This record gives sequence, C-alpha cells and structure tokens, in this order.
Amino acid sequence: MKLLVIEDNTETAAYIAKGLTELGHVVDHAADGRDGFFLVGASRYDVAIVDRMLPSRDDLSLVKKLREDGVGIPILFFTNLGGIDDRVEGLDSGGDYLDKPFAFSELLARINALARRLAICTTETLLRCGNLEIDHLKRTVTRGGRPIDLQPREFTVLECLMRDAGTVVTRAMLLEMVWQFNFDPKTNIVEIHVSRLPSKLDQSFGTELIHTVRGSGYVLRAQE
Amino acid sequence: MCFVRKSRILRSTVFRLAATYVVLFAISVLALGFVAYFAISMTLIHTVDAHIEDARTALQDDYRSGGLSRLLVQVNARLKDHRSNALLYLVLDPNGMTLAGQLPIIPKRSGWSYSDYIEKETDNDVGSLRILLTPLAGGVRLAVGADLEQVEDAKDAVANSLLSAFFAVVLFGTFGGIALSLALLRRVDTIRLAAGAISEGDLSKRVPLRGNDDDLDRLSRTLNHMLDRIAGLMESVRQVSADIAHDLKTPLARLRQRLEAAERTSRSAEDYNTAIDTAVGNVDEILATFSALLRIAQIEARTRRAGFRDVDLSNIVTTVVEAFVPAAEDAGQSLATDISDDVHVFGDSELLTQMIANLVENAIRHTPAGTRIAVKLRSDESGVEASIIDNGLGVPESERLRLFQKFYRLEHSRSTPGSGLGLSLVKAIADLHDIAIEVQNRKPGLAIVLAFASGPVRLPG
Repeated sequence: MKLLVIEDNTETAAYIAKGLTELGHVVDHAADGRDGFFLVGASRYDVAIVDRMLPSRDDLSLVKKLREDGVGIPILFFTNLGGIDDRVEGLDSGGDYLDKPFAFSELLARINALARRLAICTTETLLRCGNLEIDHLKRTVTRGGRPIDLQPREFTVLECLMRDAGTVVTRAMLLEMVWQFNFDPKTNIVEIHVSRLPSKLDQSFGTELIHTVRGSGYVLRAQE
Repeated sequence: MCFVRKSRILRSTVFRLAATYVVLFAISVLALGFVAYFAISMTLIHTVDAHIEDARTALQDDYRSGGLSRLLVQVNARLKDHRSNALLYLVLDPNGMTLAGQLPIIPKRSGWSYSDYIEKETDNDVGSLRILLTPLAGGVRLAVGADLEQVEDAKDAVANSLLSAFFAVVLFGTFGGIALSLALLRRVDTIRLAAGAISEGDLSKRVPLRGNDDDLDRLSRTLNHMLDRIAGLMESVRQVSADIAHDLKTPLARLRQRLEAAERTSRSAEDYNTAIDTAVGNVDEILATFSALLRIAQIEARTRRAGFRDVDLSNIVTTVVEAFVPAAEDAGQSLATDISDDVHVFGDSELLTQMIANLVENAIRHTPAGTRIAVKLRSDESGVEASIIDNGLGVPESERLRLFQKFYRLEHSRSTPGSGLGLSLVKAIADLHDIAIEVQNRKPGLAIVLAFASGPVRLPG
C-alpha cells in the first residue's frame, strides 16, 4: 500500500514510517498540512494518517479540502488521549479515529480496514470466506450450505470479521462497530463474545475460522 | 483622605441615586406648589367676588324699591361698618359726580375690573382693588369694591410655606442621600475588603453577614456560597493532584522495578519478550488512568452539550446489557432487564453508553458470584429513570456518598484492577446531562438510580 503520514512530530512520524515500511508499505511523510495537501494532489495514496494538532493548515480544513477536491482518500485521524472532543464533524465512512498514544497493531489493523473498505463495495450483501457465507440482508449464516443459528449480536460480530476477512480486526474496532463503545471497558467482553462463536461455527467442520492474534485482535481466515 | 472619601461618596451609586431622587422630588414639590398656589388664589378671588356680588344685588334691590335716596342711605350705612372685611362703595350720578362713598380709582367700564393704586396715607404701598361697576336705571352707576390686601397676604403666606417645604425637601434629601451613601459604602467596603483578602490568598475569609436578610446580605451570602465552591474546587484539585501522584507513582515504580529486574535476570530473547509485554501492559494501564482523567476533565468543561441530540436510551441500555450478559454469566451472576421501549432523552449517545456501561460493569465486578443484577429503564410523567440494582455486598453507609469521588475505591476492591475513576466518569457524565444519581443501600445490595431531569423526548408523529 502507498500511505501518507501527515504528522508534525518527527519522532512519531519516523516510528510509524519505519514500522509500516518494514511491512512492505510505501510511506511518504509530510510535516504539516500544506505539504500533505500538495503530496495528496501529486500522487495517489491508499490511506492518509493525519495528526489532530497540525501546524500551518488546520487539519479540519485539510479534510474539508481533500473532500471538496473529490479525493476520496480514507483518513485515519489521531485523536488525543481521552479526546472525546476531537471527533471531526463530517468525517464520514471514509475515516476512522485512533487515540494517541496507540498500539502499533491497532494502527495497522485500522489502516488495513480503511483500505479494504474503499476497495470492496460496501453495499455488498453476500459475504463469503471459505465455505462460510453470510447474507447481510436476510441476516442468515450458512457453512457448507448448512444454516447456522446466531443471535443478532453474534451475527454482527461475525459480519465485522467477515468484512475484513484475512486482516486483523482489533478489540477496540469490534467494540466500536458492534456495540458503539468508544471506550475500553475493563471487562473482556469482546473475548467472551468472540469465544462463543467457534462452538457454533466450527461444529463438525473441524477447521477453525476465527483465529486470535495475541495482544491485538482476531482474524477470520479459511485455511486452504 | 477626607477629600478622597468625599469624592468617593459623590461617585457612589447610592449617592447618585439619592441625588437624582432629590432633584425629581424637588421638581414635583415645585409643580405641586404652583398648582396649589394658583388654586388657592382663584378660590380667594372667587370668595371676594361672591361677597361683592351679594352687596351689589342688595343695593340694586334698594334702588329699585326706594329710589336714589334709599340707595344713598343704605350706602352711607354700609360705609360706617368698619369691620375688617368691609367693602368699598361709590355712587355716581349720570355726570360722573360722586353722590356717596369713595374709591381711590374710578373704573371707566362697567363690569369686573382690577385696579392698582398708590396708598397715600401709608408708605406709598401699592394696593390692589377688585371693583364691580353696575349701571343703574336713570344713568346712576354703582361701584362695589374690595381691597385685595388680605388676599395678597394669604397668597404670600401660601407661597412662603411652599418654598420652605421645597428647601426642606432639598436639604433633607441631600443629607439623607449622603447618610445613606455612607452607610452603604461602609457595607460595600466590608465586602470589598473580604474579597480583597481572598484575592490575596486567604481562601478561608468570608463576607460578614448582618443577619437581616436584606439584598446586600443575600448578595454576601451568594458570594460566600461561591467562595465555598471555589474553596471546594481548590481542595479537590489539590486532592486529585495528590491522588494522581500516588496512583501513577505506584504503577510507574513497579514498572521500573520490573524493567530493571528483566535487565538483570533475563537470559533469553523469550525472557525479554515476556518482560516487554508485561511492561507494555503496565504502560497501557497508566495510559488508561490518564485517559480517564482527561475524559473527565473534558466532560466537566461542558463543551459536549453543544452536540446533544435526541438519543434512544432504550436502545443504548439494551445494547450495553447485551454486551455484558456473557461476562456476567461467566462470573456466575445473572443480569436481568426491565427496559421500556422507545425511551428517548436529549443527550450524547457516546457518553450515555459509557455511563450505563460503567455502572453495569461496576455491578458485575464488585459483587460475588451468585449475585442477581437487574437493569431497569422506565419513563412516565415524572421523568425518565434508569436503575442498576444488585443484591451483592452493598457499601458501608459511611462510604456511600463518597463512591463518586475521583480515585475513591472501597478497601475490599483495592485488590481488583481498575483506576477508581469509573464512577467519577459516571458522575461527570450525569452532571453534564443534569441527571441526579442516587445511591441506595438495599441491605443486601446496592441500587444506583439515575433520574433524568430533561425528561423524555417526545417524538413527532
């Protein structure tokens, strides 16, 4: 992927760039909003990672400008610790937030999710992974043609994992998407909910679909 | 000093008010005086006129019945009457010759007239006469007059007393105003001195009260309330700083020890990885504490109110409970609900979600296995009420009111992880939404009742 990091703190920017480059991504760095805006205009990026306290050009007007110019680039916004007031009005489906300081695995998962969300058509009703199929409209799940009975919340958890099948979905992302929790409860409710899925999905199939990524989250992957 | 004091009185609000009032009052007294003066003058003249007319009518009748001789007899008889309010008479023949009586001035036209004359026998005083000249049959003319000296005296007396009253008003008003200003200035000065002392840093100082519950007393009481609040805030800031120092120092010190120990004892890459993972976990805990503190501060700044909108509280509570049901089951507890449908409130859905989640989570984490927890939401005319009820350990009565303080944790929950900020966050969110929180000891167990002040939002249609 080609990524743009707009971040004025050079140490943080270098840390992000190094981590992402090691994973094979191409990373450009802009130290302020104006440079960032020129870079976005010059070449095509999959995701822009934007810090909330940028000098020179207010990050809000940067987002607005990027949106107005029809550059539908997904933006990952850094918000400050506990930053409930940092949410940007009008940052629609093409954007996500991440509290700073963050875990690198969280950053990576969100970048992947943003890039994928742009790539696949979001209105797709039928999702498939191996022999597991879910119908978003009818809200039905089948594996190998056999229907599986899930509770509504379990269905939503599975749907989130399916949409980003193959990439890691973190606990925080699941909390936001399934329960609209923009905070981290002390109880491991995500683990408890996800741990109930395999018994329903994998019964008599033998192969596991949901894999836990230690210290980060979950990935839905069909073993070939 | 004296000059300063004088100029302060002149500049004081109450003195200016008093001065304005004195001027307005003086103008009214003056206007009233003029009206009274003219009304009294008119009445006096009318009395004189009536008196003259009565005499004229009687003499006219005499002339008609007894002719000129009878008229002259009657006039001469009346002239001998030397009562103080005696009238003046004059009878003229058709040629203008005086037949009887005397007037200092002879009017030319018939009817009413005023005439001024010089009193020769006294000190050339100007006298004033009211005269009624009546033509009688046969060319004879009868003049009846009255000296207006008494009337003028009466008018002068009225004018004098009104003027005295006017000066008295001005005098009393001015001195009263100064006295009032001084009294008020003295009280304002006590407030000012108290406020000055507080600005200088003596937060224990309070404005003295008189105890008569007048407006200054009430103002002082409001000021004292404000000062109590400020002192309370200062105290809580001091408390929180101390708590932060303590609650963050402990995990940081532990982290440092672990890192040092890892450096000394680790033999393999695996050892190092384990140490780093533990350290990252510790740092995350510290960051979570920071995050909660910053969140509370942001919520307390009340800027979030601008983003308030209609929120489906039934939906929020249901989602939160659903999220925690498996956790409760794993902990051997039951989580029951009694949630009315379509309860809407005006608020911030993200924060309300966190508030309910913190309360439910708190009930699960601080009660033993086997506890029954119930979450209720209902809406009626009296408002929206949500409650989280358990039959667990409850809290000691003495600790009940301290539950929502920052970093407050019961002794027995010191062992379970957590920042002690969960309920403070709940309190901050509740305050932002004007929600009253009531903590009830149910023996056994605890009920936390949230009463929404905003009331239910009625959906159009």
